This record gives sequence, C-alpha cells and structure tokens, in this order.
Amino acid sequence: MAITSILNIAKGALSAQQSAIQTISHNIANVNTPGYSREEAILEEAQPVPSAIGLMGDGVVVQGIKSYLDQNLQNAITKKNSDVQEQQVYEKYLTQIQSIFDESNSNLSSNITTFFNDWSTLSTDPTSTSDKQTLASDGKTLCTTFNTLYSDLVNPQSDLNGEVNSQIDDINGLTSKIASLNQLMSQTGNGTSEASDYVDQRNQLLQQLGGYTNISYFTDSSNMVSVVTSKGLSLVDGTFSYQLKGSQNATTGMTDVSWQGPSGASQDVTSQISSGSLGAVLATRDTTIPLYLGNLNGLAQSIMQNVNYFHEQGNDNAGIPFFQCDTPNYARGISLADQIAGSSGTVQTQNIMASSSTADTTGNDVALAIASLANDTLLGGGTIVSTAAPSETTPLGLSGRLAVNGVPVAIGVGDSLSDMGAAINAVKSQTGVTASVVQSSSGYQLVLETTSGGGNFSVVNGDLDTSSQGLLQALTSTPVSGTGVALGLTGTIRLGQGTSVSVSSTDSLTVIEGNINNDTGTTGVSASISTDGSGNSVLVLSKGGQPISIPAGTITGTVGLAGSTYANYEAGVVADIGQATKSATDLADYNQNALTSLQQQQSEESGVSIDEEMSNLIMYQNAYQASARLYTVAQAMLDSLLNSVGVTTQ
Amino acid sequence: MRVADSFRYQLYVSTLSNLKAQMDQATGEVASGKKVQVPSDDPAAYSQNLELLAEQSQNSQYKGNLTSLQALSGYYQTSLNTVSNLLTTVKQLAVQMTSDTVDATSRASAASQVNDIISQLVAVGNTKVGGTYIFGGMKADTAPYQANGTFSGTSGVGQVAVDASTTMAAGISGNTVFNGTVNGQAVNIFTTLSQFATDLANNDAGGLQTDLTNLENCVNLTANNLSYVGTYADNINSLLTTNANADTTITQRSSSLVNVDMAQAISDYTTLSTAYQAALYMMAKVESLSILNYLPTNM
Repeated sequence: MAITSILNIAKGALSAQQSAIQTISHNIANVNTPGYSREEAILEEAQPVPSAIGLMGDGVVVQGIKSYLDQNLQNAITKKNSDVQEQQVYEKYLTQIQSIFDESNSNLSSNITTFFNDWSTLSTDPTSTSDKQTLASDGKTLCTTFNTLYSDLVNPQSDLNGEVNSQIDDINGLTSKIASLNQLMSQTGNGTSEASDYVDQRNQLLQQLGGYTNISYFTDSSNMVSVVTSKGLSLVDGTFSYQLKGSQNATTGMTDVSWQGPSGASQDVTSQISSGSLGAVLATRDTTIPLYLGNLNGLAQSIMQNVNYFHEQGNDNAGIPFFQCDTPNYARGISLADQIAGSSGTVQTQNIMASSSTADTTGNDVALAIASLANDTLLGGGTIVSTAAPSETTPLGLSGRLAVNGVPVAIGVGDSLSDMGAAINAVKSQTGVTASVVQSSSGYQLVLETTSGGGNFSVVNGDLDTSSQGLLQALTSTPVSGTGVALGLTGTIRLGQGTSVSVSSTDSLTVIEGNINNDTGTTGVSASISTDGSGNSVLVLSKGGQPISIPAGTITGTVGLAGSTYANYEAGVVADIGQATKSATDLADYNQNALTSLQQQQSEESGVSIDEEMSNLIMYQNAYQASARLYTVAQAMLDSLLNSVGVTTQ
Repeated sequence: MRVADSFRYQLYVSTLSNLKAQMDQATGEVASGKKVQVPSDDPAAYSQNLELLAEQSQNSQYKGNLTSLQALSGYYQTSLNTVSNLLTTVKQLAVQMTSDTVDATSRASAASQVNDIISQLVAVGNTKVGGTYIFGGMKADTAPYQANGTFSGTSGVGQVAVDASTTMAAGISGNTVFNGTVNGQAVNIFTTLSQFATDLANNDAGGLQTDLTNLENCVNLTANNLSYVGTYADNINSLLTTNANADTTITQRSSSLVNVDMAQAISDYTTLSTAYQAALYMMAKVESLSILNYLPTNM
C-alpha cells in the first residue's frame, strides 16, 4: 500500500469524471438533434489490488459509453412514419382533387341541371331563337366545365409524376448514405460514443427511407445493416447500395420505377411500391386520378350520346348531333357539334332541334325527351342491375326502345329478361355493353356491364313518344267499370316484332282486346278481359299462355333498371372524393398521433433532459473537485512524510 | 418518467397547431354559415345537398313551365268564352230564324250576320300570343285557320314537363275546340255555321231545323271545352302550389344538412379559443421554470 496509489486513484478519478462530463456536454449539445440518443459514461470500480490486509479498491475506470436506444421502439417508429408519410401524400392530393370537384368551384352539377332545364324551357316555346341561343351557350359552358375539370385533374397527375422522380433521387441518396455509414461502422468498435452516434444517424436515415416506402432491415454481426424492400429486393447490402431508376413509360408518358440490382440486373417495381409516400404518390397518379377521370369521361360520354341520340331524330331524322368529340377522353374533347357552333362562331339555331317532324313545325318531342334525360337517365358505373322478375323467361310486358350508350335496342311487350339480354348483346360490338341474367334472392335480374369490365355506360328510354308507355300503364293499372265504355286513351301500344296497335279515344277495352288479338299471329301476345276483385274489368296480356305481368311503375322511362340520374351520379362522385379525403385526413391524424405516442416513449428513453444533465453535471463536477483534492491530500501526506524522514536522516 | 426537452417543445407545437386548425374550421363555419364547407366535412351530407340543389333547380324550371302554361290557360279561357258567346248569339239567331213567320229577306240578312260571326270565330282560332298561334297544335307558327274555317294545324299539342315524372298538354288544339264529338255525334263549328249561313241564304226551313240541333251540339262542345280549360287552369294552379311546397321542403332539408347552428358554432369557437389561450399561458408558465435559473452562474 503506497501513497502513490492514491495519486493513481485520483488520476483515474479525474479522467473518469471528465469523461462523464464530456458525455454530458455531448448530450446537452445534442438536445435538439433529431434521432440523437442520450449517452452515459458507465463508471466502474477499478480492479482491486492485493495488499497485506486483503484486496483494496483501486479507484474508478470508464467501462464504456452507453447509448440509451430502444432499437425495437425505433423500428416501430420507422414503420409508423411510413404510414404517416403515405397518408399525408393522400391527404394533400385528395384535398386538391376535392377542391377541383367542389361544386362551388366546378359548378358541374348546376351546369348539367341548367343545360337540361334549357331544353325544358325550349319545349314550352319550341321555335324561340333566344331559347336556342341560351341552350347553345349553356351547352358550351357545360362542355367547357368538363374540359376544365379534365385538365385540372391532369395537372396534379403531372405534379405527382415529378414527385416520383424527385423521390427516387431522395431514396438513392439515403441508401448510399446508409451504405457509407455501414462502412464506417465496420471500422469502429462497439460501445464507443462514435459508434452510437453512427447508429443514431443510420436510424434516422432508415426512418426517412421508410417514409418513402415500406422497408425491412436487419443488422448483421459486423454491425452493418441490410435494407430490403417489402418485396425483398435489396436496397443496401453491406457497403453496397442498389439504386432505383425512373424511366418514361412510352405509352402513358409517366415515370416507371425500376430497381437496378447487382451485376446489371434490372426489374420494374412500379406496381410493387404500395406504401410510404412513394406508394401513395404512385397510387394517386395511377389509380385515384384515372378513376375520377374515368367518372368524368363516363358522365360526358353519356350526356353526349344520349342528347345526340334524340337530337339526331329531329327534323325527320336529320341526323344532326348536338355535341361532338373526337377522343375517347370525352370530358377532354366534348364540344358543341360544328353544325350547332357554326364555322364563324355564329350559333346555327336552325340546327337545334325541338321537334322530330318537319311537319310539326312547333312540335317539342325532341326537346321534351332531352329535358327528361335529367330525370330518367341511368348512368351505371360498372354495372346496372334491373329490378327482379319472377322468372327469366316470363314476358315483362315492357315495350319500347332502350338507348344503350346511344344505340337503340327494341324491346317488345312479350320480351322476357332473357330476350332483353339477347337484344342488348346483339349490339354489343357497338355499345361495349354485355347483358346477362342472374338469379338473386329476390328473383331474376338483368345485369348490364361494360365488356371491358370498367368504365361507365348509360341506358335510357329510347322512345320519343312517351304516350304509348303512359297508355300501356293506364291500360294495365287502371281497372274500368265496363268493357264497352270508351276509355278516352289515345296512342300506340308497341307489341314487338315491329307490330303496334293504335288506340283512339273512343276505343273500349273490348275494341283494344280485339285489335291486339288480330296481331297475335305476329306478336305472340294475346289479350283477354278479366274481372278484378272489385268487379272492375282489366285487360290482361299474355304470351304463350303465360300472363304478362307488368309491375307497377316499371313502364315509364327506365324499365326498372337501377342507376343514377346525372345529378345524382355527379353527387355520388363528389361524395366518393369527399369520403376518400376524409379517410386520408383522419388516417393521417391517427397515424401522426400514433407516431407522436411512439416518439414520446422513445424520448423518455433516449431524449435529453436538461434538468437531468445539469444535475449530473453538478454531481460529476463535485466528484471532479473532490478527486482533484486527493492530489492535494496525497501531496501533503508525501510532503509530511518526506519532511519528517528527511529531518531524521540529515 | 423522464421528460426530454426537445419533445416537450414538439408537443407544444402540435397542441397549438391542432387547436388552431379546429379554430379555423369553427371560424369558417361561423363566417359562411355552413357546417359542411367542403365534401370531406361530411361527404354524405354534401352529396345529398348537391342532389337537393339540382332538384331545386329543376323544380324552379317546372315552376317556370307551369307559369307559362298558366298564362296560356288565361288566353284559352278568354278565347273559349268568346267562342261560347258568339255561339250563343248564333243559337238565338237560329231560334228566331226557324220560326215560320220569318221571311227570306230577313233570313238573307241573318246569313250575312252569321258569316260575320264565322270571321270572328276564325279570328279567335287564329289567336296569336307572342308569335304563337295558340290553337295551332304543333304547327303554331302559322295561322291554323283559313277564312272558310279550314284547319291546317295539328290535332295533337306538345307536352310540357311539370314535374319530374309528369307532362301536361301545352294547351288545346283548335281541332279540339272547333271540332269534336258530342253525344256520339261528330260536330264541327265552322261546318255547322257555314251550313247554317247557306240554309239561311237559301231560305231552307227544313235545313234550318237540322242546323238548330247541330248548333245545340256546338254550344255543348264549347261548354265541354270550357270546363276542360277550367280544369286545366285549376290543375296548373294546384301544381304550382305543390311546386312551391316542394321548394320549401327542399330548402328546409338542405338547410338542416349543411347549415350551421350559429349558437352552437359560436359557443364551440369560444371554447376552442379559451383552450388556445390556456395552452399559450401554460407554455409560458412552464418555460419560465428552468433548472438553469437556480444554478450559480460561476459554479
């Protein structure tokens, strides 16, 4: 046991307290550094030394620098950050899209309604030039609204495409930085402040990388981290990083993302990236915006085809369209037909049709039919399903024409669901619409869908003359008190196969019955008069011995097919966008809160608390001062020893 | 629990920005009077409201259609009253002229009176309102009646939509007014009157008896048509009432969907702004507490 060992202990103690204070300084300096994990110098008793009285303590040593990092928590944060970044992109772009469709900006709904209202106005004064001028001008406004909405929707799409390119650059920057840190880590020993700082930096980079797209990573025995995409493609392998590359798709003009693997391997990963901000950017660019563009195109196409369908019947089938479009992107290309707009910009009002007949100079059937499109039109997104019928072969008693995407399909009163389906399928090549009969819990239904499986199409009542339908409904739904009484009904009952029966106002049930039965050979439809429960007479139509049931309310306009009017369809699209925006906003908030909660847990473990650091600083400062005092004491002891020894020997 | 300093600031920032966002929303609601400002505020309510607005716009179109029919029905009533009065005059004349005491000269002069009335009836048949011959049917841009009463319009009239599923005849054709069936007998006012004038001129007593019966039918035809036009006007008026009610209902439904309860909104705003002030106060209060204030500067 020697006094010099006290000096040794003091020296070790000073060094240890100094290390601890240095670590505290490092902590305080990094109080606001993102990703920094607080460190602590771990002090340990030095190895005791043997002495005459047994082992004696030999002071303190710094065992190492501990970094307070919960790697599992950090991994959870990286993962959650991926969700946050993803939803924030959705929120940003959906909010943009929502404001494009917001009625107060777009006025699409009101412009559609106004346009059809104009036709209604024209029907009250079919020769009015000023009504026609208004119609042309509002029709043009409607076209412009579609055109503007289309281009407004395409703009964020190209912004998103730019973002794909810049995110690819960011991702490549991050992976190469991670690879360099791997290199540094492999050269640095464990348990040093340097090593834990690298870990913090690397975690921070991984967190950023995970924000772009979902990644998996693991650390190997040499402290190097390997990063793979969610589909298992390597981004960082040891000290190598593999880049993503953007290249323009020749068809879409959009940037595709490919992975550039080892030894020249390359793979298209555009569809694999489904999460993180890059996933959201790609999904919005390739799925969300095309979906809404499709909705717009469908709406514009349906309005154009159906308005033209009736308009072309004007003036003895003069064939003059109202709208024209030279691209399948109807919303982008729809405009007034040249015949209406006029070559010199003067509206050709004489080409705006109100009447189907040149003889009926002030007839208004065309205007009326177009105006009623606002109520009757059934625009189906994907599929249209009819109301249920009891069997697929029972005649439905519906007669008239359907206009399927503007192509007329004749329906006879003896036609069953199967017959209707066959008639619609016969013009499949023109309409792109396929019909099939399916059995549901409530009966048989006709399902119409686009042949390609997507997009919109429309089915409307194709008859200009709605009186025959009203007639048929009156005949079948209104019992009369006597079979010989004149019914006062005027019009035509269409019985299919090109045969129809005229009814004049003096005809009684018996007369109509006879007239229908005269054509039974051609139509297959026979009529008889029966008495209902109240003793009134009703006309019953049958085909092949089967009664033709005519469900109430299915005659007018729509043949009982479920769909939407234009205004409701548009409202539905806006509701979809609103719902998507709301979900994205809610999810962004939720994920942000979840991330904050994880970060709070992490900050409790790894964050720097100034209160704590200052308290520790005082503690170590005092220890340092005390250790320094040991020198003084040891010096005094040595002095007194040397002095007394010196005096004796002299 | 350890509290890391940087995270504490992060929490302040997120708390304040959350409150600020909610206050902005509340301010917007109070300022615009609408609780649904953009679709995502309440997608279902927004889209229902959009449908209601479209419905309301259509409804107001139907109102316009009905109003124009209402104006038209007034002209029809006036015209048919004139027809009715003229026919009454003719009928009185016929009753007078069928008497055996009336001589040929008187009948001849009565014939010219009837011809005058025919001209007046043709004028009624050619009634023109704002460029439209109201008895022309679907050929209302040219005069439907020639001087001799020949009709060149159409029997059918156009239809006008008066609600989403109903159309109504745009008036009545001259062919219905001056031509029709009474008690199973075909009646034509112009033919009857021409025949009456001819029989008067020819002093044909037998013919005059037949004419009297036919004139009776003409008067009945007109009475029927007058009642039709009366019902027509009534229908229009009742549809206008329905239309106005529908408009009120739509306005109320739209209001309950998207309009803000102002008292609630203002109270929400006050609550939020109190919370915001409290957050700011706490931030300032807590930040003034620091260990650094209690440590000597020269340790």
